[in-house]
Amino acid sequence: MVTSVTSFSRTGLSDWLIQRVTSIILLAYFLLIAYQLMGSVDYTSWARLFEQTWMKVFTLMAALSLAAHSWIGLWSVFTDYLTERMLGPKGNVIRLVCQLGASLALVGYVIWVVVIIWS
Amino acid sequence: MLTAGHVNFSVLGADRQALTNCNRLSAQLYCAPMRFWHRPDLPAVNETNLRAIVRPTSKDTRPVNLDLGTIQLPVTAYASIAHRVTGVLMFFASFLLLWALDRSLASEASFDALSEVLSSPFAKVVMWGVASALTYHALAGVKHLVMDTGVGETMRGGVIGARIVFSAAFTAAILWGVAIW
Repeated sequence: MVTSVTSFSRTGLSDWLIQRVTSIILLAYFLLIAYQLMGSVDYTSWARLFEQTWMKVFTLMAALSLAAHSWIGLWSVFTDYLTERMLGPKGNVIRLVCQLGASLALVGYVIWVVVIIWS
Repeated sequence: MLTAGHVNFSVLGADRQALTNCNRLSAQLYCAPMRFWHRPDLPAVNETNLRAIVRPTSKDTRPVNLDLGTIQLPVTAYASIAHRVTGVLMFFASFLLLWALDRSLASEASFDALSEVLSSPFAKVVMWGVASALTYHALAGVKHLVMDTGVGETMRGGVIGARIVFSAAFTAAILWGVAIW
């Protein structure tokens, strides 16, 4: 259970639920984006869409969902494959470095979205 | 009789080559669980099943086979592996998507520049790959949500679900190709 200190919410049950909720938010968001991109899209209508408050909020929700969803997903992958049994004595160090890198990238993604949407 | 550290154990039915294989690993081997000793029809030890009955030192004495290359996987396993691979791909692709979102909203000039970049053959291949990976990941995710409700939880249900997801994702990949080119 030592590895669970790096999981998203510390408990598997809670991670499980967060993974489902965020997946539905992301699915809805990507369906909306795919719908918008169907046919020709021009700058004016695209920019007008992202000027609306609900779209800014929805985009931020999607970004936060992406961060949580990726954290949980990557944690599952890392703790399965980047282990001492798979990689030898350096396994735990490699896993923690990857988790740190992924976490920083995800925080960066969220900040980037905030900058894009509110500037 | 083989010696591994301070533990002695015998491999029943082992031939000379198998004993050589055992000796090669003997420094790290330890006793297999008792139940293997008492099986009357113990299979001959070879390079493949050796890993199933003995493994490197650990407190855990359960037998494991870590060599995935020797295991024939069901379609559900490939669906799961593909879900993981596309998930990791999307983590990296998210950078590209955010970059595109940034360029598309920065100004009209950057929007036109982005359209120009995305119309190149290489960008189209990348877009097709990202769209197809995301579609597969989403479909496999929906399969998970369906299974959470108790539908298709059996082995047979899992196989059918995995086949549906693979077929739908394959069709979607073709449609993405048509839409992009």
